[in-house]
Amino acid sequence: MTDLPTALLRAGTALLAPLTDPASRTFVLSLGLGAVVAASVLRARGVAWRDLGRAVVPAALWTHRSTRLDLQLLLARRLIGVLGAVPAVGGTFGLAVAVAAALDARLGPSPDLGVPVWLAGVIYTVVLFVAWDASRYALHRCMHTVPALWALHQVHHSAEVLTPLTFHRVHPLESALYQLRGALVTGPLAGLFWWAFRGEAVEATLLGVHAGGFVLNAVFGNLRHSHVWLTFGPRWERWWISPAQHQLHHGVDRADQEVNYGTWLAVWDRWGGTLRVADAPPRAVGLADADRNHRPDDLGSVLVAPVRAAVAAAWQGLRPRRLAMASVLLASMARAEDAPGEAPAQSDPQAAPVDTSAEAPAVDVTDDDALEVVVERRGGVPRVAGSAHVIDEAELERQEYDDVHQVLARVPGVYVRGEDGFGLRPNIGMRGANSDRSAKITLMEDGVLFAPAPYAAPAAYFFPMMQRLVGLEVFKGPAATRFGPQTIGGALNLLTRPVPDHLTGQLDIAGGMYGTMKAHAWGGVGGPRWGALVEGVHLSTQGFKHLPDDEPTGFGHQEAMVKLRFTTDPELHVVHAVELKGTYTHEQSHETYLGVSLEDFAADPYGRYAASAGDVMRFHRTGAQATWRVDIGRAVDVRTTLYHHWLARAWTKVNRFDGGPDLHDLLLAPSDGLAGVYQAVLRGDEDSAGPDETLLIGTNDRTFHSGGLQSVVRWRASRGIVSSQLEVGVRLHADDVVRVHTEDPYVMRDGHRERTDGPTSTILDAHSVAQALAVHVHEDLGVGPVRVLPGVRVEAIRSFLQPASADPVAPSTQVIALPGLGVFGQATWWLDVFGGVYRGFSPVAPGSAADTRPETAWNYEVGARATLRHTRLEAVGFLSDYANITGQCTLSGGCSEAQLDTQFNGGKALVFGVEAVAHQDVPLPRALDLGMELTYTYTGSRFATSFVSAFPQYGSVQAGDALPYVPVHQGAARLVLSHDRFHITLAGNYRGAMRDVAGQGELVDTERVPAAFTLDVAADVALSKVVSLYATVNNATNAVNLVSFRPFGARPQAPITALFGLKVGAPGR
Amino acid sequence: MQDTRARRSWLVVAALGAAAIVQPLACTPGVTVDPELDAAFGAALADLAPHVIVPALDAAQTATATLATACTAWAEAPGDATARAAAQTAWRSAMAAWQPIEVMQVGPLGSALDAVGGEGLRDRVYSWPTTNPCRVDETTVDGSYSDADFFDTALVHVTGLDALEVLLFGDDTVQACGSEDALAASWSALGAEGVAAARAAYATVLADDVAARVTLARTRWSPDGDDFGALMVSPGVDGSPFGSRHEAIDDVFDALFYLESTTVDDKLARPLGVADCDTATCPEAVESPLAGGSLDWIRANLDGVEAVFTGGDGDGLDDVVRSLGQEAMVTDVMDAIAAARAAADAIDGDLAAAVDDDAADVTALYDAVHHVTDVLGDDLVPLLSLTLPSEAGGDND
Repeated sequence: MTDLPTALLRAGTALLAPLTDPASRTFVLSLGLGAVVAASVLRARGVAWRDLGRAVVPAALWTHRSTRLDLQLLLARRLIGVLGAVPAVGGTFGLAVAVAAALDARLGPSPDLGVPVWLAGVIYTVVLFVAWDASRYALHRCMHTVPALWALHQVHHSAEVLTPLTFHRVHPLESALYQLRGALVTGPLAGLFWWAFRGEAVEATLLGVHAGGFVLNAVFGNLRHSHVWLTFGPRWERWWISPAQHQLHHGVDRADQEVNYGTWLAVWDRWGGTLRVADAPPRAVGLADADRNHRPDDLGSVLVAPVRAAVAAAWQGLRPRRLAMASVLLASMARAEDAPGEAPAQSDPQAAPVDTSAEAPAVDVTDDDALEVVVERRGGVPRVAGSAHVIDEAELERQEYDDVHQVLARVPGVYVRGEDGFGLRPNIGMRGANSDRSAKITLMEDGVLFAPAPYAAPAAYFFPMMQRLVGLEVFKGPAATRFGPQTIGGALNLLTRPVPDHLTGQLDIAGGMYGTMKAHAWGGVGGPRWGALVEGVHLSTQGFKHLPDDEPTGFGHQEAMVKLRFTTDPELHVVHAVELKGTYTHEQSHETYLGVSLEDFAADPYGRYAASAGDVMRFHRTGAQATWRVDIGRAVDVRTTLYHHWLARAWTKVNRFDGGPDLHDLLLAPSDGLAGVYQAVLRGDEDSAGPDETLLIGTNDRTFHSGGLQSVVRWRASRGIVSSQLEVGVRLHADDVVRVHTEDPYVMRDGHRERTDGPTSTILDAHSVAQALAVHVHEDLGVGPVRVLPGVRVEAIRSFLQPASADPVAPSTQVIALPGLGVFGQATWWLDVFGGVYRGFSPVAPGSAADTRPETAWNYEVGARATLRHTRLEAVGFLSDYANITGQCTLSGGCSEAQLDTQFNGGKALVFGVEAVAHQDVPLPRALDLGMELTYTYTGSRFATSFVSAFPQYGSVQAGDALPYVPVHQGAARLVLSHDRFHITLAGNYRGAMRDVAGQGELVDTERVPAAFTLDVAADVALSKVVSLYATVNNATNAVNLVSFRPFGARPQAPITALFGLKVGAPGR
Repeated sequence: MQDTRARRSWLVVAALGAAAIVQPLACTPGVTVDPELDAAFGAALADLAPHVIVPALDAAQTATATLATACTAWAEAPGDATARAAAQTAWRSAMAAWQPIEVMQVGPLGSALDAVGGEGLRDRVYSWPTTNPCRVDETTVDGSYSDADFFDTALVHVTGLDALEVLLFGDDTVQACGSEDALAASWSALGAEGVAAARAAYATVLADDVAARVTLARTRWSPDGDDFGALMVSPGVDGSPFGSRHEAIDDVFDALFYLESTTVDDKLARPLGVADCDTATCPEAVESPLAGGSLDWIRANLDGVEAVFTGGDGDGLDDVVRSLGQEAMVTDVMDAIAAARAAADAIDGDLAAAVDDDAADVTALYDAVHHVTDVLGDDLVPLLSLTLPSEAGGDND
């Protein structure tokens, strides 16, 4: 049974395919670009700005009876097309296979041609383009010269006005012929190149479509069927068919119709003697009444009469000389090469095209194209082109969360996947971006990337402690392109405590269940010109899970930060400020990849297997950064930061059985059959018997460096109702990771794992390096209540992998431009509307397979926000149209060592959804205030293609499958009762069921991470100005929630956890 | 008049638009696949059960029923060497009948770990190389095999044909847990005759269970029974766990790679000392160290591969490959199977002895079997991964 959103999506997709399919000429982006080109042409010809809209889209053309028939035929072909398209596609595939197989059979496997993969791709791209274009010319010419075919092709030529919809005005039988042409050309070429390069030749694509065809379609394609006369000039029109040349081909005179058969390249017409430069528009477009075999305003006639005429013409034409038409055509092409300058008869050069004038009838032009952008009004976040969400210090203090997952659970569009129950290694995704180790979002602390190696290995094995933070900023939509490299989902910026300008400090001590101990102290001193801050945090717990012999399952985590600030005289016009920041972090956590089976989870959700006793993660990290800020008046500021981070970590944990089943699969299987034996060994109930039951305990020892220099210049100007803020940023960055992974053999004996005499194996010893230059330019242009925010980000990345025992993998270079546009408008004093579009990107990790493409997507959002005195409502719709969605392998995500940090193509995919926020403040008597907030996120996702991926979370994907670990429904509700002396907060978070692997339809137990609801309660009371008490009860209902099947097996959310604390010192966090 | 025409014209547009919406709602979303290839998949899948798996299970059903009868006879006279020998002979026949099915671990026969629709029936019949003779001996002594819920709690390494090998062929004076183990005392106390009696009783329980599991597997696959094959042919229909025929064919292909993961890696590489062996060779790691016959089981695995590939006397994977125009690949596969069979025939005597005495021939067998999976994996599977470029729409396309 199809669910309603899927059904609606499918229906909408079917109807709108001509607009939404990038392969279609009338793809919405192509229409938009065509309109821009048309407007430019018309403006250059003197059309006034105020008339430009009407000139580009004249009402008379779009309401013309001819256009109505275009639309009818388009829809009729949508109905009929399914019947023809599938066999054509299937035939293409069969043909490709047959050619590849025949070549294999006759010639054997192709020899190694020594052609680099990129060059093979270029050759393939060019050959496809040329072959497609030539075949279109040949068939198009036959459509005119073979009477039976001309009878059908008349339908296209009977259009009396030309609009982009005329492209779809084609008789279904002609359409079938063109599909057959596509199959006959594409199939053999695909087979040939597959055979020659064994699948390594991949054509260049944009949005999944051949890049050459897509660009030409987007820029010029829709002008071919339009009233806008655009020529390339006689010289260029000998090589490329201009839109005007095609309009000439639509002329009502037969002489016009018998020239310019080509689509893009003019050489076919030149060689075939049918080229004519666009010297003057035709006197009219369409067919003379005498030439037409159908009534041009009657769909039935258009569908039936040409068929009748074609049959009659074929009957008449069954003579040898007619059947030889194709060979005559080829011969005439050869002859015509000798007469390139021959021009067919001219139409009246003075005549203006009928009904297609740029000065077409007047029509009211509406300005409803305006998209828009969020202007964030809280917490000091600058105005940005897209959604932004801020969690400020007061909110962090009220909840006293130690786990970033809990903090972000209420932010719409953000998904979190628990793993250890403490948030030590968070899995955060946004708007469908994979949450695995937060590797698909841009993570920053004070605006500086903090992932261990953001380009070479972005998996966030380090995450700053929540206690040290005074704010979080979440950027989604076009706003995310100001930050990178991961720009599809969004960016998360963590704000640390600023250096104070006076003597201040605080001590926070807390203790609670499971031996949780927290100590947090900070102190600072300073004045207007200088300041210093020292901060330290300790958090430890014995853990809420238990091992058979009560071995430790908790962790200890410490972090320290020092900041120094120096400022020149702030009264001067130019003010310099330098801030130095140093951090140190240490963690030792008894964490494991090993969860438990579903049956064991049901019996004891907080139990751990004996095999994981002894698993431990240790890391040290240092960070240093120096920031120099120059403020030149209020107009310009420059912020330059030099930064370096070092992280060394080693995680010793159960990796796998030497020869047994994959642990993820094993723990999802019922306990009968072989699974029962291996599960028993993991539990310690059975001793290892045989080599397959040997446990391999891996130590993943990794050292990361990340450093760079970044600078952002902002320039602000305003005059009257016009304001501008231009931001230009540059970042030169390098990072690397040295991975030394080893495995030691253990056996289970009497409930404990024992080291055998077997040797330690080194399974990975490699160095990955990435260097990147990133530049972004963003403008915020305001005119009255409207702001337009165009921007572009360019990332140039060079990366390579150096295995210790093999030759280095050839460096790969990626350069990509990521444009974006946001628009914001204040519709009324209380209502803002906004929208944006941008191209998002996620780079290819070093060492990925040669055919791995970066993750790219066009992302759209549109929303509205109502802000009243006590009420705020916001709704945002978003859509990410992935040209290629990738899965990035982490061991925790279920990948093998060999796959580590490599990426896998997932092809085209759609992620779409709605984010909504409703906030209400209710002032109460006695200085009380009640804050209520509801947030909700709906997220749909669909893979567009079927494929089998080595990325475990994708697996065997069918078109229509939803993405893993993206909940369809997610929501949160909060009630905050506030008073000067106390706060009480109730926070409920609901996360809908998620898939463990891509799929569709009903969720089976072994693929379903069930829905979860968590209620958290927090309260604080100020005993005096400097002393306050607080208490938190997280998961107050003690719900047993399964949060993930990754890395291996079922993993629980933390049970009820109460914590009581005392703060002494300055108010605040 | 003009207005009426225009209005009618827009009505036509609206009607066509509505139809365009309704049409995809009414259709099952489909993956665009090559119809000819899909049809070839369908034909091979349709014949898999009636022409390959069910006949193999019929043979196994007969052999395991005979084994159950023989074990019952032995249990009635545990000291009767003839009765035990008859049971041993029946076990060998059952193994010979079962080994072709080892490469057919698809659907209910497959493991719940990795097979679509897997019920782990194979594991209960035969779980090698997951075996544990020590646990078998412990179970023999503690008598838990006679508990009513024995099969609800027992792990697969104390059941099935692999455990039966220990019971039927094991030395009644020697237990497998070592002299230091707690079992040693109770084993001695039971004495050889007591052990034989317990083993015979235990064997009867296991043989009955094996016969019952084989019968259940046959029911699952039989067109007259649960007809799992029909679910493979018709993906997307109610009850079918498959998303496409391609997915079902993938499972059949995957099952054939038992030949690599188990026959090559476990049955040959370990005894040869190529992997997981601390000495030059490990003859004790052969599949049936007590009963012998390991070479026969490898031949039977090859028989199974051939049956699945050719579809017996029906359509098989070879016909799928032919539909792709790859007759030469079919020949390659058949030649590779024949060569592997010949390599097995070239080995004199038992495999355990041959790994030391005739290592060159065993290595040749190892290479020959490995070559079969090379042909299957390197040539056939990639051909199915061919993809097509997407052409931007041009005029009249």
